[in-house]
Amino acid sequence: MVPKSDEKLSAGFDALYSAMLYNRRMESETLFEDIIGSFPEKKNEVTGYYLYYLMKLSYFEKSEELLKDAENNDKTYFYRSYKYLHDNSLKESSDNLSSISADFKYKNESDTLFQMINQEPGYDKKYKSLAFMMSAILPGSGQYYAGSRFDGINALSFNLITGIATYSSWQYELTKDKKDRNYILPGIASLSFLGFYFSNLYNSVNITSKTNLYKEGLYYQKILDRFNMIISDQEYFLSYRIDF
Amino acid sequence: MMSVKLSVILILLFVMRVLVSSEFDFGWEEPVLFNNGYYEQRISETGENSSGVQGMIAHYRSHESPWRGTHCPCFPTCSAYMQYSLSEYGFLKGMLMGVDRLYLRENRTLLEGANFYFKIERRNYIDQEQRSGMYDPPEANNIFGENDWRTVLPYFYFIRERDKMPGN
Repeated sequence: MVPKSDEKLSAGFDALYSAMLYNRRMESETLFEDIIGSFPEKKNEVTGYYLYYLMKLSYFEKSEELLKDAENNDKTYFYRSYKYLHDNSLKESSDNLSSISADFKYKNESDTLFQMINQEPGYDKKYKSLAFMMSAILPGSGQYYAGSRFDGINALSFNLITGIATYSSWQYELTKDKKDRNYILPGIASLSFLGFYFSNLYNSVNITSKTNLYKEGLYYQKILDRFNMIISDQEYFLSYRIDF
Repeated sequence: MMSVKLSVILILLFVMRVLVSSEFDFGWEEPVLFNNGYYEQRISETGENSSGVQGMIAHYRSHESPWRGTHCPCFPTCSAYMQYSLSEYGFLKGMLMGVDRLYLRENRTLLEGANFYFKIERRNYIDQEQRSGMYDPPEANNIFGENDWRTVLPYFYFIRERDKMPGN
């Protein structure tokens, strides 16, 4: 017996919800396409539910095309903003948040997120050039300035040891007669000292930029978590209702 | 004389341990297991060079590392990191990045000094044992290009890898 259209639709919704509940993404995708194919008039509704699922579990790549075609409403703006922040497009993200209307259920939260995205992340920024100069004068001091004490002491000790070895080996060879001199050991010592010195310079710039990136990244990670928390908060999978 | 040297080294280690423990702690652990998959794939895409330094590293990875019994505490492992940076950024930059990693970061975890980095869980490919390591991808260490804050967060690597898994 062929089921009636309404029964088929409700069975399709039930199957989609249960697949989403148990996080079976492939099955959800197939069901989503099936429902859209059979009931094109329900496209907006089903897309909304499916996007909710994709956003909740941070499937950003999968959601890209759906988000482009989705109808413009508050939920879509919120989802788009989340996706753009994930792609590090801060301007698009805040633009979408500002398009949200005043009667949106989470207007206060979205305003807070808008402010957080637009303000500069508050952390003490370290300067690469200063770290480079400090490390050029005293190896390790630039890393220490950037906040990585271990790297600072590591670089200083490697440079001290190879520096002392270079100095003493050259001194030892130069006190000998000219014909007895052998430049292999001083050469190796000088090369290793130069290698450590230049890697110390590289490391000072690297660690400074990475410290800034870490602090910045932690700030934006917090905003992403907040987005996800608001999206995930309202789920009624068991009662087959998603109230967002 | 020997004991004096030994005690100096021990005191140095102790001082370093204390200093490292007072560093900024990122304290974020990702329960998902990390592997070198993405970097392996990129290395094979750019064309594995079987001569010179890259060839030596490839030989080390295939023939020597499995027998050594020691385990790199970082992610990606130091050899994968160096091979990737040599193939991606060229000889000079790649060597600088590799030396920077080997001499100034790999020994961090000996002193449990990975505070300054995100700790992650990774599975060793030899004995398949799960160990904690530090997240230090090559993309975040290239000082010649414009870096993104997303490169230093393990979350983005996890999302990228998960989306590529079969069944996703």
